[in-house]
Amino acid sequence: MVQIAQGDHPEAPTGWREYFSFSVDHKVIGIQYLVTTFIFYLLGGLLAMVIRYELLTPDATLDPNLYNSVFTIHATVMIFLWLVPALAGFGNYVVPLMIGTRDMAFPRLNALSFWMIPPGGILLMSSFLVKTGAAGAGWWSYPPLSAQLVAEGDKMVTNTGEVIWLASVIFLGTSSILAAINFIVTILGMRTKGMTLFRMPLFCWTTLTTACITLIATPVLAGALILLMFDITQGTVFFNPTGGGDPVVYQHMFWFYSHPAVYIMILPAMGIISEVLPVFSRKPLFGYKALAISTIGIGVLGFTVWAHHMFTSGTPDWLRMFFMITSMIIAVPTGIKVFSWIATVWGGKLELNSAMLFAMSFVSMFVVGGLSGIMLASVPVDIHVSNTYFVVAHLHYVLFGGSVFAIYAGIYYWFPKMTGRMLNEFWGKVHFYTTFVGFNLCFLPMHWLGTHGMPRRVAAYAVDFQTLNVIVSIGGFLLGISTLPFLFNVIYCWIKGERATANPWRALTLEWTVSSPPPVENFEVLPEITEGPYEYGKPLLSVPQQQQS
Amino acid sequence: MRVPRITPNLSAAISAVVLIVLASLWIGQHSDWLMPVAADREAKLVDDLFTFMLVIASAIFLGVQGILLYSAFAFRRKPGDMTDGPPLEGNIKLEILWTLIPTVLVLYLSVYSYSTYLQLGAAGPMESAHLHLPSSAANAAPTQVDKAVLPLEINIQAMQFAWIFDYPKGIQTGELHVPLGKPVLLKMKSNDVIHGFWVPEFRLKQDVIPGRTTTVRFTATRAGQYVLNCTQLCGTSHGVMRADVFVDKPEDYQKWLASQAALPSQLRTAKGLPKTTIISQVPLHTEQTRALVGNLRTQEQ
Amino acid sequence: MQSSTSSNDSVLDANIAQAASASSVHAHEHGPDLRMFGFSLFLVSEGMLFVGLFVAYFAFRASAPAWPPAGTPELEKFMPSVFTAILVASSGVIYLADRALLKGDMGKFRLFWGLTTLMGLIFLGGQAYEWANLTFTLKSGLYGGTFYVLTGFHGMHVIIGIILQIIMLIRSFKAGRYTPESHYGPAATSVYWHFVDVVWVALFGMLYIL
Repeated sequence: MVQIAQGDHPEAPTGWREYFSFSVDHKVIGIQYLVTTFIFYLLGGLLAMVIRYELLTPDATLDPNLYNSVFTIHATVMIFLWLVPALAGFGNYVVPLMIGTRDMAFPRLNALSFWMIPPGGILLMSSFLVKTGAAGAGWWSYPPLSAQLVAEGDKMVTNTGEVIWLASVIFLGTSSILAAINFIVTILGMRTKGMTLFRMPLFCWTTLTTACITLIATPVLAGALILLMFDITQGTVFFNPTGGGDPVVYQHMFWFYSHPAVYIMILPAMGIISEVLPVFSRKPLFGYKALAISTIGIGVLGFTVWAHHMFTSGTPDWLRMFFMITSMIIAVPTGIKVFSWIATVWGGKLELNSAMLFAMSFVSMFVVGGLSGIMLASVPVDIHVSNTYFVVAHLHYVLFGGSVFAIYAGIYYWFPKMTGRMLNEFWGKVHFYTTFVGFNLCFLPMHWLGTHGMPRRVAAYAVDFQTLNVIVSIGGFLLGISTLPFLFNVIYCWIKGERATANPWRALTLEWTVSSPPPVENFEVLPEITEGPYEYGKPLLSVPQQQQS
Repeated sequence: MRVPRITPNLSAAISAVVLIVLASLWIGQHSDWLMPVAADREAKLVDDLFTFMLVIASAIFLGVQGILLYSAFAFRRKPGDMTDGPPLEGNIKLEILWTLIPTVLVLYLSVYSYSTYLQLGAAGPMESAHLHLPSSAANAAPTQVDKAVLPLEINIQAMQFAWIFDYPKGIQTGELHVPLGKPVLLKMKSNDVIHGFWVPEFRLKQDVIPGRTTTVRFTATRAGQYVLNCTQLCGTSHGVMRADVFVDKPEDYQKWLASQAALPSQLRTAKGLPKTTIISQVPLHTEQTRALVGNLRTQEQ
Repeated sequence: MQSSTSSNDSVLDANIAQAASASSVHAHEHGPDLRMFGFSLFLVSEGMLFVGLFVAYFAFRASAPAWPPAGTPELEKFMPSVFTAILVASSGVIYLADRALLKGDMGKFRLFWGLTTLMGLIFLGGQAYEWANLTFTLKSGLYGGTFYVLTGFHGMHVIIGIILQIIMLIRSFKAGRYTPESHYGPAATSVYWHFVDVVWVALFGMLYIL
């Protein structure tokens, strides 16, 4: 399937078999991550199609338990098998090149982190086959619901699907912790000469921050899931109120991870955008330091806002106020980012290719998600709209209009580097416009549905909501179809696309100074850095040596 | 090298800002369609806050999208132009400005939200009944007006997948009726898993958590029929765990209460249960649910 | 490369190096040994797992009407204190083993290293004895549940530490396997052991004393 340019780059991976092996080359691992997670993205997308099919009519069409499993696994796949690892895939491929090193700090650990993902994912998907069905308590897996026995025939049995869900999430969490350790050590310990922290491309900053969040937050989730696992399999009562336990403790532990997890999924995406915008605007990234520092700010503040997911959970008043204020404040560093991106674009010489279109729409869609996020931070408004389709709209504007758009931008941007081939611009634009229209058609009306009374996670809804739900579903199906031109483009161009030069975008970061695809150990001589990564428009002090290839 | 104009023409910028402000205010004026009708006193407070946030959000939204769209057309690269844009790396004044303004804005929004929340509290605090932290909000200075009127207390049991309402004198029903204009206090308990109480027209939502009692207070201001939804995923039939909510004129309310007292209890509660087709698939977790469903099934036969 | 060169290198790192001599490029190629840094990050993560469980413990404890619940006797403190003392002392012993290794005294290293393992085993034995004689079980409400899960989790870490120590001990008999310059395995194991110790001290305070 994948035949990487041979001949002119004798050191480059020479065959598709490499990609099915326990390769320790960060570039191979990066592509393994991206391809694997994209397959899971398609599977998660199919589940989304099932959800939209169910919601075409106000009555439950599917078996309600199956429907619960479908949206539970949809969310789990999209978070733990798509967004988190796909962004780690970019990190794997790009970060060592960007900071001028030959590989990640621990190549074998790196390969291990990747090879934990396919089994974890297959385990998760296989839970559809067990008799109890896949986990159906939502991706929050709130007890006591998740710990309840389920009917299997006439008997009440332990929920095997839930146990599998817990096991695979703990497994995937471990994988992301190992990857995080690797990123931190690589970025802090292996930068090339002259690559000071404030000369790193912004994507490295966001990957570093993300890795720190993963390292600190994921174990707490693991702790919660382990306790829940004991409740389900051993009959302990940690979260079981009938035995004196407290389900709200689970919620705190869960959201202590899962809110920062949002930043795990959006910060590297912001990093990608900060790479793409300057290149295609031909302007330096506006306010580089502010962007770097606001990344850290979001990372730190992200640990202080978790209970805004619990404003209706019987949280005491003072906690609601505290978490409202912290959640509001997080809008400030986020705003700095958005304004800096706009200022980067302003007055540039824009090349509106697919990567740039996705990057600019990232800014535009992310703003919508950010603004609805501020509304959700406000306790009185949140009390009305939490757990409704308003939240579903909000989170998809952030994680699809945000993260997924950024991943697409990243693929269009780095594909020539990764494969040595250019993607087709025409099909790229077809992909962009179908995605953009489908996305807004699908998620914009959800705001209205939410405020008017449609709770999330329901298979049946009031008849009045049908028209909008049909529109939403059409948007959803369009979104599903929009992946086809992309798939076609990627597969065709990977095999037969136009050859890419070392630096087709005339970018200034280090990955563009080596051939496309880069040789096995990246650099013949490690480069030495004397200036920042976005010096566009300045008299070039140091034209990347191998720019012409 | 031709430097594209970075600093916009002052009059154009001012007119753009004025346009955006006017448009946002217009959106704020016409925000009714974004919320369902308001059926209690609390809804008005929430809607005012929502509208205010909507105006600000609209301004930011229009500003950002406007600049992006304008840039996409005005700053497009000429074919064959391989030069770079101007080397602008930042502008400290501008950056301080766009840090400070949002900071002030969100702090103001926090204060505004907080004061709205307090008013919700005064009108009927949605206080939490934390297990061992008895909330102070219940005692937190209700307004003089409300002090005189003791709220009508209704106990609610939430269970997979039904709402049961316990009125004084042992009347148990499957529909929620509240009198118009009288403060109501709902005390909610769950028999199994976490459920969520939400009547969109009341703008009030509160999880119902097993092992503790949570409460909702409100004063209905608009007679009519509404729907109570369960908003916390609670299992198989979560989506149909609804109940009818009626805001009655005081005399209608009394009439209804009297009519309920005359009915046998099974008939009253039966209304709260989901359709039988679904009941057949429901695992019965608790004694209460078993009893209720048992009642219903015997009626069906 | 010499450590002096690589530290020199990191100083250069911070500046804009104008001329790169062949030797400094070479020095950079090998860089510092980052394994210990990576391992410490792993321990940070492990620490957060325990912190999460500890906080859950306190939350459960705060929500319980009585702790221990009515009918459950207080934990016996004397024997656990003795075993705690042994475990804490073993941290000192493994430090001595480290010192011996730095001096290249392999005999002393093996002695203290083995002694640490023995002390770890004694602690585990004490733990097993206590588990076998308690009146409550994993299913005895929050009290039993948290006790067994927390001590069990910690016990698992002790077992892993002991296994690592045994592996290192066996490897140390191979001449030149560990030298004063290169001994990442024992160094990491000993940091891990200190970590396990610190966690236990915290646990002991929470479960037995508070």
